[in-house]
Amino acid sequence: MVDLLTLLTAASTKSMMLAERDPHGFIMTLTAVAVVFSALIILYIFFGILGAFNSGKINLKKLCPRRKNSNNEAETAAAITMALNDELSGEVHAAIGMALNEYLENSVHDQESYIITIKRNK
Amino acid sequence: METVFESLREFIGFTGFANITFQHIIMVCIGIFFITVAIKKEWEPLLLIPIGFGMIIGNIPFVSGLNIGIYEEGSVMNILYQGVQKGWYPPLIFLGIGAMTDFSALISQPRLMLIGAAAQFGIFGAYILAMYLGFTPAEAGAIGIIGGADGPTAIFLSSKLAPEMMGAIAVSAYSYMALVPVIQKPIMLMLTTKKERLIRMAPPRPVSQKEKIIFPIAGFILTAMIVPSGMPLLGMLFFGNLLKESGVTRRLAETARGPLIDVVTILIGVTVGCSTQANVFLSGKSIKIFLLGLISFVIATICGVLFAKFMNLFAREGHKINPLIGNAGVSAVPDSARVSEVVGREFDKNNHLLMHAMAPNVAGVIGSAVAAGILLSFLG
Repeated sequence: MVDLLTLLTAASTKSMMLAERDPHGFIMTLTAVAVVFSALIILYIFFGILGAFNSGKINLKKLCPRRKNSNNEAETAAAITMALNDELSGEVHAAIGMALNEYLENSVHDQESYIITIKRNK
Repeated sequence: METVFESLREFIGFTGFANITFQHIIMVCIGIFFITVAIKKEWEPLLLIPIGFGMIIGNIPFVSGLNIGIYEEGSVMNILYQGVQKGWYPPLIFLGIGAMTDFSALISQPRLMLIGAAAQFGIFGAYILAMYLGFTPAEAGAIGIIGGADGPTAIFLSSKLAPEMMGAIAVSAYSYMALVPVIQKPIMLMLTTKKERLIRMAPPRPVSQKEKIIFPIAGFILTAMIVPSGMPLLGMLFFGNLLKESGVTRRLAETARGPLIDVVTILIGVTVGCSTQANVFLSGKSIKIFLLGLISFVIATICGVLFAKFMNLFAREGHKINPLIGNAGVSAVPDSARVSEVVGREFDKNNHLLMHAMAPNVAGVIGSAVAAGILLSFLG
């Protein structure tokens, strides 16, 4: 009997207890607003940082110095470009060289501005 | 011969004409009004037509015991209504919304999330007012969520907190969503100066595919960890978005944002409309719910616009926010963002605010789902 009473009371009480403790709803409002803001502020901070990495405002390369063998990367790109020099037109090898350089320097983005200006290479 | 007349008399006693009341006529007229507005003005037609016709279905009077009414257990309408009562439909709608929403505006300008948070004040302002008007905390919470301007969330929460008021709450939420341009524009004009309305916002940066994929995963984990009770809505919203952005589940995303959401919208609209049977719907409480719903909408819009102005106090030159996007913090997607665009272009034809307004708009969807989760965990 006592158990049944307890169960019945428990079912209807969450709201009633709140009505007694917080008759005007101010405590509930403040708590809820704080939680909503916290949830979205956390998202804001997280995506703010992620965005800073992606847009290049925070540069990982500056934070973590390069490994030693990466010094050769620019030379490798230049060597490949020179090797292709005789085979292809100036524009093509400039584009390949730039693409290689960007790839080796890890500065390729998922989305580029799609505007590339290359000076004619004579 | 007499038996034939008696049968006819008995049959006439079963017809709607014999049982109709003044309240039924009012509800049928409201249903016809919804359909008219949806067709003539094109205000939320995808919702108002099913709801309007549902109202007509639900208010054809009948003799009880035929197992046809929405509140009669086991009837066809009652079985379809289970999706509303038990809260299955809203998460499915959220799945579709996630699969059709592009969050890039929000990812590129995450500070605008805060406007979406500020607009949720409408929910809690209405909650306090409802408490003053004598509603229980659970009922007040269910009414307050109208201010989130999110029909599925309103249905989800009211089905858990105040099922007997769900019809009035759902109809109120959808009605005000349809009236977004009418309600919000005067408030936006009242709270902003001409100079503020002319602010041009910096274009958002391009967002990479990687960020778009990380968003639903990280967004869900972060928000659901804070408010686990909002998991059904948040989970489906972010899952739908992952289907869209992953790039490898195109068929699933297309189903979620196409046939699935269409089917659920039809079912939710008709059954919610049907649930407004005159004897249940027409009461003093319903009128109070409509009034409080309007107030919560107004408070939400005011808070969104004022918060955008508040953020401008700390923003550097060139990073100012046009406060006309503040109204979009309520989650009526994309209607409230469209209002920002239209009002903005009235003052500067070349100032396109839509892409900026989409950020607080989709943040409002997340914010209202979080708010619903909090109310559920406190009051459910």
